Amino acid sequence: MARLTVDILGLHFPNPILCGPGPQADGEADLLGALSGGAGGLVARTVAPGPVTPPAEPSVVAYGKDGLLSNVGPSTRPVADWLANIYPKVAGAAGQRGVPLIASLTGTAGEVPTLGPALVAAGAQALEYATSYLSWHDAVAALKALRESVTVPVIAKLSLAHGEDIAERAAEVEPYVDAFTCMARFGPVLDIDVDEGGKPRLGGPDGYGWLSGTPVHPIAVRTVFAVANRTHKPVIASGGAMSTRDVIEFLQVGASLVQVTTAAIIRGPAIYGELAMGLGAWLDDHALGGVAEIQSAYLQKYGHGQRVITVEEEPPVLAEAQCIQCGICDDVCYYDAIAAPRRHLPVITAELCFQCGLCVSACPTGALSFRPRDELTKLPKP
Amino acid sequence: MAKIAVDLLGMHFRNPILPAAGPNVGTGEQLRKTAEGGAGGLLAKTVSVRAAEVPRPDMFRLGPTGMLNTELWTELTPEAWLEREYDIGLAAAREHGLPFLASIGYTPADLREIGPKVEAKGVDAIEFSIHYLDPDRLIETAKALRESVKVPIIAKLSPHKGDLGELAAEIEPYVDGFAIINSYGPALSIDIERVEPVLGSTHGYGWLSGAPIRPLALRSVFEVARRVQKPVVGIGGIVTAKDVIAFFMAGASLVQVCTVILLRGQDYYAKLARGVSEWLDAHGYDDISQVQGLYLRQVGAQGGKLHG
Repeated sequence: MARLTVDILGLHFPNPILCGPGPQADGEADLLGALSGGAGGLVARTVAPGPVTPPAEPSVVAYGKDGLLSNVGPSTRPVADWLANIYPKVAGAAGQRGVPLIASLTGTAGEVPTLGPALVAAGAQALEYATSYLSWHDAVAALKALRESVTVPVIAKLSLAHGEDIAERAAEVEPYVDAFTCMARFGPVLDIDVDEGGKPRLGGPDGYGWLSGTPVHPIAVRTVFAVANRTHKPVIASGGAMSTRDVIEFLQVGASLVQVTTAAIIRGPAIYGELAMGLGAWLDDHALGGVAEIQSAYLQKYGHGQRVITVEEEPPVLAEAQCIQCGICDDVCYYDAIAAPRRHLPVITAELCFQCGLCVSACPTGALSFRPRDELTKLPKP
Repeated sequence: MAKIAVDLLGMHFRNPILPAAGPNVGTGEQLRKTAEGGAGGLLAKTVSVRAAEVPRPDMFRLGPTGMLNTELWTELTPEAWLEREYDIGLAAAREHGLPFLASIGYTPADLREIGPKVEAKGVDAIEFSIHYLDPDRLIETAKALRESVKVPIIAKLSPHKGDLGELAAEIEPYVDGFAIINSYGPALSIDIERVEPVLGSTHGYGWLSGAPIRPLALRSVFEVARRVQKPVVGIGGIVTAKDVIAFFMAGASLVQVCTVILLRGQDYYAKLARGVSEWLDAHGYDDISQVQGLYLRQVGAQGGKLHG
């Protein structure tokens, strides 16, 4: 069996799948469930320094099969309950299993010097600071204050709501943190229930919320890659990891660990262990000894911004045995290069093909592919 | 059957569903198929002062209703459009009684050069695409086109972290309408088996379109429609007739579609239009104008708190 363990931030993670700090990690039962479910680390739900107003209902609704829209904020449980009861109990159980426990918190520069050390005293082994609740300016001040008030690792969870230049923001706070999490939920966004006469699908004054899950995954993958490429500290991925494939993708573009929140809300806590097992099986299938062998593999290849040449510059190649003659390739070709009447093998006219790739990605059986240009992609990096 | 025709900026659209600028309208012949497929009006792919050099592969289907792309503007030269493609598209528009919109880009100098040439072809309106969000550059760009052409001009804006309505208001004096939004990015997807990007661009970055960006697009349309008096064309992830209604409720007066057409074919315009009409009938509306701004009036009027 391939090794799934990850050692970063002075902590030993049995596997790289972490329970993320969402509503599925809100209290003792949730966190013990995540432990039983096989999480390699726990990030407990975000705690705020003062009382938290419950979100307007509905506060979590589905967006497609594997997406969620939500307007939830930090835990509404009293901080005192977290500090006196939840953290000590969960820390004990997690410690027995050798699973690190990380606290997620928000708060101003004036508040975190109290809350941060209290969370550490209660059992947190690292602190993830959620920057998205404050302006960037105030979040930076809070991160500096947190850095000065604790000795455990501090992780900055970054959000695109502060701007597209997420890698520059990461670089700005790199001196004060030990790692980054990319990214926080995406938004704000809006969805409307048209059958109810145009009501927002989420509660609240404007119906605004945040998108998570599969729809935001390619955005999260980009932020992990960009931050890992720009900084020198570990990156924890967060954003629509629903499958083993998604986990591997995050690791290849530069993540050291992967937080899972939306998938666990939708499918329950067993997903943590399933993703970890899936990762192990994939590594075994590829005769790889451990997570380290795939971590940052893509980043090392393409971080320098060199021209990407992934395929031969020629039309896709058809594997006839795999073709089910469905005609989708013909439907999606906007260059009139494919003729594929139903129940006939596609015929590709090379002179018309733009090599746009849409047919390759739309083919339901993978019968169409570009010939890889491996001799070029294996060139050493400049 | 409920009325779904829309009269806007002096143009009559037989239904509110137009193509968005993309490979679906990349040639005159595609524009003809778009008209035959039932679109409410035509809009041609973005033309600039030179042909785009597009990296390949440049399109990737992401899930059933999403896409990642590194499409730029048209890979044909402006001469090819001015001498041939626009004529084919315009002829199709006239045959089907449809308005014809051109899309052009990107800098003030580009717009001054290409705008009058496109206008001289006889297009009914011009959409111009802006990828940056700096207010001064936005104003300079809008002014450049405003001073160069007489037909209605529509500014297509990119999604934005703040209130997009504030930016739209800055250029409202110079334009006749807004198209909200462009695709969102960058985003990244890789082939984990080969450790290669799915697109042939620098870093493998692409722009996300389709259903994944619809909630971002709806919010953006809502913010612009709430702030400006001029019409808003909604774009971003429309898959079903209900999605068209949602954009109208958020404040749109027309919509554009690209990704769903690329994935489902040019005949999908007519299916969407029929679906919109049927939805209106089933919900007791006689005219699509009755749902336009419904959400905006309910929620926007209450002065909801702004995020970002």
